[in-house]
Amino acid sequence: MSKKMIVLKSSEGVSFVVEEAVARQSKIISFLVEEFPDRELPLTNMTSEILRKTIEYCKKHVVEDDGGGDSSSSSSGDLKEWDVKFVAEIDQPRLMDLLMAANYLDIPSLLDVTCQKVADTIAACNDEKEIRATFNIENDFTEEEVEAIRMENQYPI
Amino acid sequence: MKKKLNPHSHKYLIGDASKSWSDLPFDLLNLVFESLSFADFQRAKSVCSSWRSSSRQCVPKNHIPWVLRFPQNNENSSCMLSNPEEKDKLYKTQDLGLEFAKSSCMKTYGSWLLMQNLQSNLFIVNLFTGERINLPPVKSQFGMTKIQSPVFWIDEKTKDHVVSWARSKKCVVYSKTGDNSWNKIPKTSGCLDMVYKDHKLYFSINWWRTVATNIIVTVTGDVLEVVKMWEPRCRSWFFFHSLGDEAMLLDLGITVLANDNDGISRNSIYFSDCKNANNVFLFNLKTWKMEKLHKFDCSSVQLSSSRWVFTK
Repeated sequence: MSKKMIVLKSSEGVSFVVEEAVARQSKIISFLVEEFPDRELPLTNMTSEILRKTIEYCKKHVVEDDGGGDSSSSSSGDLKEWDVKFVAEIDQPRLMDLLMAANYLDIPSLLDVTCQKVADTIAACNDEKEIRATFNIENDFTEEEVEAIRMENQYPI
Repeated sequence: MKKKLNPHSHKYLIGDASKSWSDLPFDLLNLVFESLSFADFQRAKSVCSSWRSSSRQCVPKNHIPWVLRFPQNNENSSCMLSNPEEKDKLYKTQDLGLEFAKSSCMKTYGSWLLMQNLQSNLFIVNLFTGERINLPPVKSQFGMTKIQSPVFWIDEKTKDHVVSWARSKKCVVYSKTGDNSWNKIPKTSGCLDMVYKDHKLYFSINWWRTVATNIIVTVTGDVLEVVKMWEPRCRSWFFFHSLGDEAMLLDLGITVLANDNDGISRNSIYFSDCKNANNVFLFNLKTWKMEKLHKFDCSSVQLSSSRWVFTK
């Protein structure tokens, strides 16, 4: 029996044909599939690159139901390892895109993994200067704000 | 059924290279911030104005206990806080208007303190908000009595609370939200130590040759008893149990999940020096080594006793 396929279309108009079970990990797509069966779904605010990456994640995490009950395509330990590698290979700007994609499409596990990666990256920095450099963020505080922060944070004696 | 689609992130093209991390929507930033430790959260707040605004709506995850130290003299009513993660820093709490020289902290729960004043009366106070709950008078009900092994619990939202303590070795009493007096719990004489956790009261009674007992309720609800035996030839503490990924806070009678990165060492016992309460020590059960928790110099401030608190 062939699996049901659906079509997702990126902002550039590129079509991605994916198994419905894969795409349904997104709660939004799951809802759209039910409302509009047999239609291609336009994801007009996602680029092909990010959509491809998101689908790659969903493919790995799909829980296959081949009549044999719930059997994940990989063991949970392997999956965790795969997730770590998956986010480790993504550069900073793409990580933010993926985080936003996970939020937009409502894929909770991908949101967890990407948020954790950002948190780990922040934790690996020694001070706010290093965080700014790592994430390429401009220091936009006024002098008054800098002083206010200093007062708030500095209780050490 | 019409379901509203996720309203977030619509204005962005996801994958567009022109965005900056300072544009990340607040709700997503907060998801990230929530899993930061206290120190990392402090740093993240100081990165840019957008991250700073976002941080105001967020409470960082904080399961790590802090050490609270009380001032010794009357002039100062701020306490000092230190966390196991930043070994060289002391933080000051706001002035709570409490005269610490005239009252003493008997126990902590989360960021609440159970205090006793010179008139022997008990009250609960929040370390950060200063909110205070007075408890039924002790002296008018029992006369002069020693309050032993006090324990308490309070709900952060509803402020429902239970306070319990042992009247010397006579019996255990308790008081719940709204009670005007202390209630006796029958058949509780000879109580040595108590722990209140997950709506259960654990207590231990005296048995042969024990001089001191501490009950510890672990994260998973197992009950351990740390017993000091009167045995003249043996002066050391024996402990046969491995705590695994947990760390024991002897003073609170609980264990916490420990992650070596957060500054609390796993498989270790934390306890304070009974002679000099400024010092908190940890004993590692694997290496059998003892070390001092903090490395800063306490001599510049006069502090008396110390307690564990959870700052969330």
